[in-house]
Amino acid sequence: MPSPSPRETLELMLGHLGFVFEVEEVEQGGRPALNIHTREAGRLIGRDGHTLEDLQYLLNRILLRHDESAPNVIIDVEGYRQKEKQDFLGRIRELAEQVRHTGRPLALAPMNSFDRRLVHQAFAEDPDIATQSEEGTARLKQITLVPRHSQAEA
Amino acid sequence: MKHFLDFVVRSLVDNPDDVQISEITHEGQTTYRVGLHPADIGLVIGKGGHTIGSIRSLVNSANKNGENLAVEVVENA
Repeated sequence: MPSPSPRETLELMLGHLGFVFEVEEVEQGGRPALNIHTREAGRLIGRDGHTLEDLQYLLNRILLRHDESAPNVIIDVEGYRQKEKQDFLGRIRELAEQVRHTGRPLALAPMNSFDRRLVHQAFAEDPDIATQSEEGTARLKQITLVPRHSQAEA
Repeated sequence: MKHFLDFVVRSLVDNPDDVQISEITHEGQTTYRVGLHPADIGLVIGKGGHTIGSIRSLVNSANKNGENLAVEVVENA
């Protein structure tokens, strides 16, 4: 079976769901991404982006069924993910300020691997704050923001 | 909606020719029953129900008249 392109597959899914849309091929952080333009963005994004996550998950499941080495495709709606990434990291940077100030570690709310990667990356070069991920195989895990000097003492 | 389910489910299973989707309406509640080859049930449900959860979420995201649309997965007899 020839592998359908990510874009064609996404267009078929959205078309069958009855959305009026246009798909634009873009890049986000060096990875292939498909940005959907639609007037029904809210409906497609869902509460806290849950519907968008579900769409991305399902599309990638389908692509992997056709080609085991298919790269993971990021789906965005009207640049929502891009904006959210900035807001999300903004909130976490505020919490990091507290850790800097108090010198006490702080555990963040459990998050998925995509979000954890964003947090680890955001603090990779930080002179004061390190990030530690919880152990285990749960899909949602907590990251703890730790002051680097106390880590060195431990 | 049936077309969406048909496309997604056939794309996920090993036996697409065995996929049967029926729409049942009972007392105002619409249910889509997805009949599958027994070996394909796990592929459509997914780890921890993640795949079927995503399918249900998308079916309801597109539904404009507010009622909840149910999607159930059954083995073909």
